[in-house]
Amino acid sequence: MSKRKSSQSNVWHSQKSQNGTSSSSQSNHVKENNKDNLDDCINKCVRYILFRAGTNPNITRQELIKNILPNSSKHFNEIFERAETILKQVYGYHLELAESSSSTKLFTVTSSIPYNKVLDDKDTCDKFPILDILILSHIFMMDGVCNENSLVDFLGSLKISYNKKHKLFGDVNEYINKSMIKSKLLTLELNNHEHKLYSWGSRASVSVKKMDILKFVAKMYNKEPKDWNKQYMLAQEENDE
Amino acid sequence: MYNDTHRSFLQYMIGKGCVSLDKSINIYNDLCNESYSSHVKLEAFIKEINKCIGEQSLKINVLTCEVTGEQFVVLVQMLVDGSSKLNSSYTTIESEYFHNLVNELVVTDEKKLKHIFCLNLASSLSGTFSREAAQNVLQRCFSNGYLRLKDGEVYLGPRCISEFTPYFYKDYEEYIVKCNLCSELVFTGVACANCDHLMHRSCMEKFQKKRSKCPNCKNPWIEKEVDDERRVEEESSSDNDE
Repeated sequence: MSKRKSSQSNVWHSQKSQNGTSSSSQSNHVKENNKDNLDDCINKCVRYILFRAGTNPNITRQELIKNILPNSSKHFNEIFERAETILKQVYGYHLELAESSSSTKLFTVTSSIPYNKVLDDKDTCDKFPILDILILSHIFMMDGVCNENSLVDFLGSLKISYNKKHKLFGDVNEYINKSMIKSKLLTLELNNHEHKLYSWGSRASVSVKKMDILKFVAKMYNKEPKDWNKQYMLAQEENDE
Repeated sequence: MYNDTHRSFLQYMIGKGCVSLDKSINIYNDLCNESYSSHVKLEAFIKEINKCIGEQSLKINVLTCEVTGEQFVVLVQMLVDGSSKLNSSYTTIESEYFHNLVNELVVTDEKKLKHIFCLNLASSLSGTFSREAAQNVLQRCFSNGYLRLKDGEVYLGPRCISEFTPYFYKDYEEYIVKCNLCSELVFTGVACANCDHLMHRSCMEKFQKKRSKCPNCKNPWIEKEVDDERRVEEESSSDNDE
């Protein structure tokens, strides 16, 4: 496969060593080269995020540094900021900070474009978002945590079998306990009796608006969002943030 | 003004990769709340997007399939590197199968392979790969615009040709042909009966509105009949049987 010439950071290093006895023209040349390298890195970062998000929209800061600037992570923050701006302005993608600890930062890629049904092929489009919303709604209405039985009963009431293969969603058990947890839509904990407890994962927390969920639930029951006081207040709080 | 319409269309193309021109025009109409747009308007719209994504080595092209004449809107990567390989929804062995297929397709004279032959290629990979798995990959490639199926034969699709052009120039120089009229690579088209040079059918049709000579050898244009060749072969083999 045709590859581009030398990696960006190699060029940086060689320019630095030449810089010792630079005349002003040489240092301008170096500055230009550095700017080109910076732009290259920014574009590389955007491309990486674009393509990586297709398989898994959760990306750590570590992974980005490793793949874009393996030799020097000094300029990463600047590069990342510029990449974020390009992703937002050109592509309509947001990089939300989903998890942050002393050792790592996890970002999740979301779209800032509101859902447009025009772009969904009824036959071939991904059906799982429907299941995602149903499950996240149930957990939200159960005050943020629910056990496996509760989830199974809820899905059963919608004629979605937990263990039999569903014609749209396939193996629902596997989807919930593997896919949704892997994609950080759900978090799984085990309580004292080794029972499963589900709550919203970090990706759900940053990319799904509680008020939208509440409106959806209200519509399903032919009521108003305000009818659920506790959930309404939580949703309002999030909007005010 | 670059706005959410552009971003929506771009996100759609990133997701789909390859969409028929008619469908793209419909999407564009729906996004802009218009009832009718010509493809000229769509192309102008695409140009606005391309101005912004060029920096990331991406481009949206309108391509004509050499095999079926259908037109497609395709998001093409101009740069093949580690990042673009991430986008692959194909497993390692599926990619290996695909690359073997492309290799076989480019080196054959006629630039097409029988469907069955493609399925049989599954057995010559580095790991176990069933014919069902091969058919699965082929099906996805047909809908993605990477390969085309016509009359039981598999051809390179417009998206594959577009993305792999630098790779073909680099590694397959002696197997590829450039169309004289548009300077792009041509794999399926019409050939001159005299000099055998291959050209895109659509390019030749446009050219013939003004001139009736072969653009390569300059003799009066006579199209080489591929079917005639086969018929001659069949007749001679049946003569031998008698």
